[in-house]
Parts: sequence; C-alpha cells; structure tokens
Amino acid sequence: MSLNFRSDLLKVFLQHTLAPFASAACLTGEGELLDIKYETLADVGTLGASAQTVTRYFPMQLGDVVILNDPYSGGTTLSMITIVTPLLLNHSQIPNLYLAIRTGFRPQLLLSKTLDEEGLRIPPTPIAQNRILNEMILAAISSHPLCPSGLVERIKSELVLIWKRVDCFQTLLQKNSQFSHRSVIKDYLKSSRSYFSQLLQELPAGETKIETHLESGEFIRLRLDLSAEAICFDFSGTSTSQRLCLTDSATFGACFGAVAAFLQKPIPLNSGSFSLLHVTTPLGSFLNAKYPSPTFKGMTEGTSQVAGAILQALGEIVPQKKFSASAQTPTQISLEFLNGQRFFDSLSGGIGASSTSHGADAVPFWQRISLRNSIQEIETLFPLFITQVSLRKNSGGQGQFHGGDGLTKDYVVQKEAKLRWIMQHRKNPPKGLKGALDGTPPEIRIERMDGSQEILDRTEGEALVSVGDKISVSSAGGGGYGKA
Amino acid sequence: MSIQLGVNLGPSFADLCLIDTTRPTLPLAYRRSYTPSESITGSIHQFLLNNAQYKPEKAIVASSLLEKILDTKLGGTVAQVVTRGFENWAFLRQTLQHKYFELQPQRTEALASQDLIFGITERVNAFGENLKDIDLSELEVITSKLKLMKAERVCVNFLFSGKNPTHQKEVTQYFVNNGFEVFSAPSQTENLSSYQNEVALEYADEILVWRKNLLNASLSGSFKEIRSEIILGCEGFLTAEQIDFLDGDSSHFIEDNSRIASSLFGPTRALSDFYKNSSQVLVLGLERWFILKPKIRKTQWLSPWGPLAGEVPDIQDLKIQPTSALIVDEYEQLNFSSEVLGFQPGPIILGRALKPTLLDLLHLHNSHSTQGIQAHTLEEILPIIQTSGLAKFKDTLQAMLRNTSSANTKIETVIQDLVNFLIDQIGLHILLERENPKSPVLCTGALAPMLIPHLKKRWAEINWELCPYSLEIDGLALAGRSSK
Repeated sequence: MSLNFRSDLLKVFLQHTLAPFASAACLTGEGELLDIKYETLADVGTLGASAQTVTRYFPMQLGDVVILNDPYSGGTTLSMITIVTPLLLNHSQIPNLYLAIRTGFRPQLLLSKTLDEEGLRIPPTPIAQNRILNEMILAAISSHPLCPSGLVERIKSELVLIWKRVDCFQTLLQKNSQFSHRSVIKDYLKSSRSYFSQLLQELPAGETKIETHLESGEFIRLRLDLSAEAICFDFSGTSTSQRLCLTDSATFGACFGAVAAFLQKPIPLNSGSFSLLHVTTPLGSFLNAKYPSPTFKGMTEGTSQVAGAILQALGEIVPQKKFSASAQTPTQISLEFLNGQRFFDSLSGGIGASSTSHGADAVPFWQRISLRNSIQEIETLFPLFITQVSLRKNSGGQGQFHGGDGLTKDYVVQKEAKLRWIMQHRKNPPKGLKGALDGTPPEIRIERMDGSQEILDRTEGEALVSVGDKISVSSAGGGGYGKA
Repeated sequence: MSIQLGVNLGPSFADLCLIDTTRPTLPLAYRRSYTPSESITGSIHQFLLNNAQYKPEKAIVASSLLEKILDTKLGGTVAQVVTRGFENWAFLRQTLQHKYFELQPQRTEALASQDLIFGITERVNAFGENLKDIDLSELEVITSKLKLMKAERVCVNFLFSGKNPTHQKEVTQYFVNNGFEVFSAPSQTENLSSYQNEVALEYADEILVWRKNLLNASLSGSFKEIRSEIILGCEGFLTAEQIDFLDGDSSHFIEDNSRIASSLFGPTRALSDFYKNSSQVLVLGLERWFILKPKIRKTQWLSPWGPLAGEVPDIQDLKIQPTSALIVDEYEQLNFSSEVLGFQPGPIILGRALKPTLLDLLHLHNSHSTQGIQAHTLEEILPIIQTSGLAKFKDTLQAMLRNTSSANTKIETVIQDLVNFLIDQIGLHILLERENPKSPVLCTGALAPMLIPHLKKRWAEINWELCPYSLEIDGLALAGRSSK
C-alpha cells in the first residue's frame, strides 16, 4: 500500500479512536499532536498541553492513567477533567502514542479571586497502574467538598471506552503497523501543514494592528501578520488582568479557532497545521496568566473575547469577509441554594448578519458543548420553575439582513439562593454594519415578589433571590447588515 | 403451507420475497426492482402475478424510503400547539449544522413551520401536579386560524405530559373532534418516579418526544402515499388489513400515526430480529453498509434535528458507503468522500452519473476475475448496468489521478490500493466495535459475497462468516417474520 493510503488509514484510525469522546486528543511521546476533537476554544490549545505535561513528568506504562484539571498543567475550567493514558509504548518503528480525553461536569460560576476558590484543583495525579485503579487516591479526591459529584463513576465509564480503544490498537498493530510508522506520521503532519498553507494562500497577505477594550476592563493589543507561510499573532502590550485570566495554551486555542472559523472549512487539528501559527503572549498579561489566578472566566468568556478580536483583525485584512458582530459570549448565571446545590445555565446570543443572509437565532458561537439542560431535568433536580424559554424577538439588529435574536429564559425561584452572573456586550452590543442597527444588549432582571423590579446592569455580580422571585435572563442579539 | 410476502422498500430498490412460513429461512421467490424506473405498485403486482402459484396470506412491509424525502418534503402545514412560553423550545434544542467553528453557525432547518406554533395556557409541574387549567376559548381561536390556513395536521406537545397526560389528552380529543389529524404521543415517564439517575434524566427529556411527534406529522402525508401504492400493488392478492408495517421497536402496525418516524427503522429491525442470536452483523447491502448489533437496543436515535425518542436497533453506518463518491481530497490524494450519491443518478456504470463511486471501483476491480458486480447481484438489476460505463469510469479515474500527488502511479496499482484501503477501513471499524473478539462476524447483504474473500484475506484474525441468502436477505428477513 502506498504511503498516501497509509496516512489515510492513520486519519481513519484517529477519527475512530477519538469518536466516542466529547473532546479528546492523540499525540506522540515527542509531543506531536496528531488529532484533536474539541468542544471549546480552550480545548483546541490545552488538550495537547495537558498530555505534554503528563508525559514530561510521569514515566508511564501501558495501563497507567493520570488525571488533572489544573489549568496551569493544561486543564481548562475546574469542572473539566482530563484523563491521560498511553496508547502504545516501546515499539521499534512507531513513536510512543498517548490519548488524552476530557470529560465535563456541571460548571460552577464562582466570582473568585484565586483558582483554589473556584473549585477542587487536581494537579496531574496518577490514579491507575496496569489498569488497576488506586481507589484510595480516588476516594481522597472525591471526599473533597468541591469535588464534582459522580467523578469516580464517570472516570470508570470513560476508562471502559479508553481500554477498548487501547486493546483495539494493539490488535491492529499485530495486523498492520505500517499506517502508524514514523514516516507515515511525518508525511501526515507535513501534508496537513501544506493543506493549511494552501488555505492561507487563498487570503491576501497583510498586516494589521488592533486594540480592543473589553467590558471586563482589560485591553487586547494585537499585531497580526498574515502570509501563506505563517500567521503571527503578537499580543505585546496587552494589559494585565482585571477579571479575565487565560493560560497561554488557551490563548493559542482561541487564535487557531478564530482562524479556522474565518476560513470556514474543517482544518486538520494537529502539529502540522499548528506549526503555521506563531503566538506571542507576554508573561504577566491576562493572556498568559500564572497560578493562582482564577481561570473560569478566562477559559470561557476570555477565549471568546480573544477569538472575537482576531476575527476583527482578520476582517481588516480581508474586508470582503467582514461580518456584523455576533454575541460571541453567552450570558451565564448560576444559583447557589442554601443546601449547597448549584445550578448553572448559559444562554447563547444571536449571530451577526452577513451581506447575503440573516444571522441565526441564539446559537453558541464558540462552544460545541451540549449542556443538557432540559426543563424536566432543571425542574426535577433544582427548586426552580421555568415559565418561559423563547426567542427574544427583534433583539437582532435590524437592517437589510437582520442579526439573529437572543434568547429569554425566566426562572421562578422556589428556595432562597445566591444569584451570580456574567454578561458581556452590555455596554458594547454586537455592532451592525453598513447602516444596520446593533444587536440589543443582554439583560438580567429580577422581579421581586413584592412587585419591585431590579435590572442588573453590571458585567458580573451577585444578588440574593427569595422564594417567588422571577429572574428573567436575556442574551444579546447579533448585529444587522445593510440599511433596511 | 402458509405463504407470506416480505416487502423491503429502500431509497432506490424494492426487495420482494415470498416464503412458506413453515420454512421461514428459505425464499420461494425473490425479486429486486429499481424503483426509479419501475413503480412500487407495478413491481409488487408483477411479482405476485409471476408467482401466482403462491397465495400470500399476509404481507410484512418495512420502508426506509421516507429517509430520502426528509430534506425535501418536511414541514408544510403541520401546526404545533405547545405550553405557552415554550413556542420556540423544539427549534432552540435543534443541533447545529456543523461541529466545527464557523463565522455564521446555523441550526439545522426547523422540522415544521415556525409560523404555525401556538402557545396555550396550561402547565403541569415536574411532579405531575396540574398548575394551570386549559382555557377552551383559546383552542377555539386556534382552530379558526388553522382552518383558515388550511392546516390539517396538529402536534400537541405539553411539558410534563408524561407525568400527567390529562391536558394532552383533552386537547388532542378537542382537535380530533374538529377534524384534524393529531400527533400527541406523550413521553413514557409515568413510571419513572425519580429522575435521579443519568439514564432516567435522559429519558425524561421530553424534547425527544416532541421531535418524534413533529417528524410523524411531517412524514404522515408521504407515508400514506407509500401505503396506498403498496395496497394497490397487492390488490387481488391481499387486502389492506393483511398488510402490516414494521417499526423500529419490532411492532407490527396497520395504521398508527405515532409509528411513522419509527418505521424508518423497520428494515434494520427486521435484520436485527432475523439475526437475534448474533452479537455483530456486517451488512453490506446495495444501498447501505452498516454494523448491526442485534443484542443491543437503543432508546433513542440521532436524527438530523437532534436525538429522538424511540426504541431502535443498534446500527452504525460505515464511513464508506457503496455510493460514496471518489474524490481528490485536500491532500491531493484519491479518497472516498463523505458524500453519498445514492442511486439517483447513481454510479457511472449505471450510465447517467458523472461522479465515480465506490461501486464503480468495485465493479472495475472485480471485472478482471469475475463479471464484476453482475456476478454478485441479482439478475433484475443487470439491465441498469451499462457496459460502456466501465470505460467511462476508467477515463474519469485516470483524469482524477492526474490531479493527485501520485500522478505517475499506474491506475491498476491505485485501484488495488483503494480497494485495500476500503477493506482495511471495514476491518478497522469491525475491530473497534466488536463486543466479543471470539464470536464470528456475520456478513450479509447483496455485496457481501463479493467482499468477503477480500475481508478474509486481509483480516484473517477475524472470524468472518458469510450468511446464507445474503442476496435476498432484505426481503427474506421480513417475509420470514411471524405475524403478530
């Protein structure tokens, strides 16, 4: 079989291997990423980083497992647990291969000052040797009050899938190992790089500088240099953190995600393509934070803001691909009840219109997570009563093509709770283009039982809610395009 | 002797089979017809006339024919009556078109018109308590509007109707009395006293049932047309009451509008029941290739609009299908595309198409040693394979090869490489999916006899078994069912 078909088979194998997991990556012992399956911008940059951290510090044997959620070791938010295990070791012609998968729990929105206040931080921790779980370590982790509930059960169920993939790979190697030989991997990464370079060639070369001030107080200073050979992002001069903190690998993910969205084509996510991106994030800026800075907001909202700024910069270089702004960051709320129960919800906003079409209504822009929030689940598990989930009519900017509408969701609280929220676009709603109107900014309103009404207009905050209070959350609409 | 007729309607082929129910695995007569050139009615009638010595007492029909109209004939005049405040709920829960990041992400097209959704006052809570009664005057207003809009079909979807179906039943009866066809199967959550575990919560998500009702309503008109054609085809041999349809959960039905969407899984259910003692079956049919796990049943299926409630067999489509297009991919290599062309216009060897498919390749590959596909399929489709098609395909392939990085490779080598790549992919998929490595992998379907020698040669470690009557299996699995 020719080299070409062997690398095709490698691609098929990688797709099959990552298929059952929501987000996952496969990489070599030398740190070359072979493929990534992602749910968020942060996943794109951090999945490889997490496995690289583990392989650097933990000599592993087949059947060994290390878990982590520490953002400074390659994790994202503390509610996402990464599991790393070898897929193949010590083969004469094939490099060592590792699998990193990520599994998520209901997030907690805590407006904290340090990472450790955001939840349980798990640094890279070995939890199994030769497929035998270290129940003592797992028990110690799960006994922590901030440990996600059901962690051990979830790890065990993910491991069942992982072992199946590992076993399959071993059988496959006995049959045909050629498809994963060093030469095939090299060729595969080289062709990925070449394909990505071809896509970049379709864009005009150029350079631009932008400065974007975020509602959270930070500013992004970016010099973007686009050519067929490379795309360079220089964030020198970007501010320190006010509210948002990202790790450098999450910032890299935001850069790559934005370029991929701009090209509007599926791009191979591996070291071959990644090698064309050069990202400089100054140490101390909010894009390259260090422990113990809290990262929840940075990993969610922050990555969206960075990717949004990059789209803006790319739009300067390629004006024909300039779309009206979308509500790129969702409006997020959480409720913490007195019994410790925590509810989290995230409302997507509207998409910006283009010169040829209306924007879509209430669609997550930078997330491919399926947060299972059925009415049945919410009302059964939490003391909440939902009275409305509907499109926020006419919240998309009007114009020749209108922006997508946001969403309105009303929750009636059945037990006293502390409400926390984060919303972007409040002061700067998604902009319309060519004479069209901007999208409507997001809004959170509390209608108290006594008839009074409170509009929460800060970007983030906390408020107490009592039995019978109605919290009405509306996400932003997208910007319109062209005069109506 | 008791004779039974099996009718399997695929997107382009109809499989007809007669059996003696005392020997249900032995076909008495069999025919495969190409429905674009021969009507369903005509095919059935001619088959029954040609085999007039056998007098069927029953017909069992399974049809996936509606699959091909999912994109084109949905919507129309289907109205929805839902709990007020949740008018957009079904649409908002629909999946995104693409999983990768893009500048204008979109949801899949709505299942039914968004202009015909009516919210009414009613509410049941998570514990089945009635919180708001129905106001009949609202229904009167809706009825007048629907009659004005000439809507004939109504979906009634209320929150927590599975916990307390009183409102759903009341409104359903109201619209039935007013002459509408109503779709309102409640979710079956009455017996789930608690939603505290993951499975129960997933099952309790009523959006899956809302979607099923909507799909039943959207497909209803086309389903009735198909049913009429079959009844007409059987005229003189069987009455309408003697013709059973099969749905995904193994039930037979004559007229039941709550089973229309599920009937899409009738053909795979028939195969699943036929091979009920096997753990894994590889089905290599003329129109579809998939892995079937007869011992596993799923409680939902992934439709283009998101998960949908209903018991269905565990099937996994192979990435490569018989009419997958051959393309020059982004790496400048010949490859199989994810685009499945189907049989309309079909492979080049059928004479009308321009794009080469896998079936063309297999035909050419086998033409040296055998008569190609003709040796392995039934006589009835021979007239549609054109001798000039082979040369045309070869020319097309040669032209494509010139645009690849393997331009200097001999075409025979490329053909062999592609076939090997195909066989490797099938083997890889089986390896990743098999439940028990020791149990044999049964192979069936019209193309199984042609491919099994290749599979046995390249994947000797897998115990492949070719099933008897592989060519006739689609009709046989239906005809041989015991009547219920």
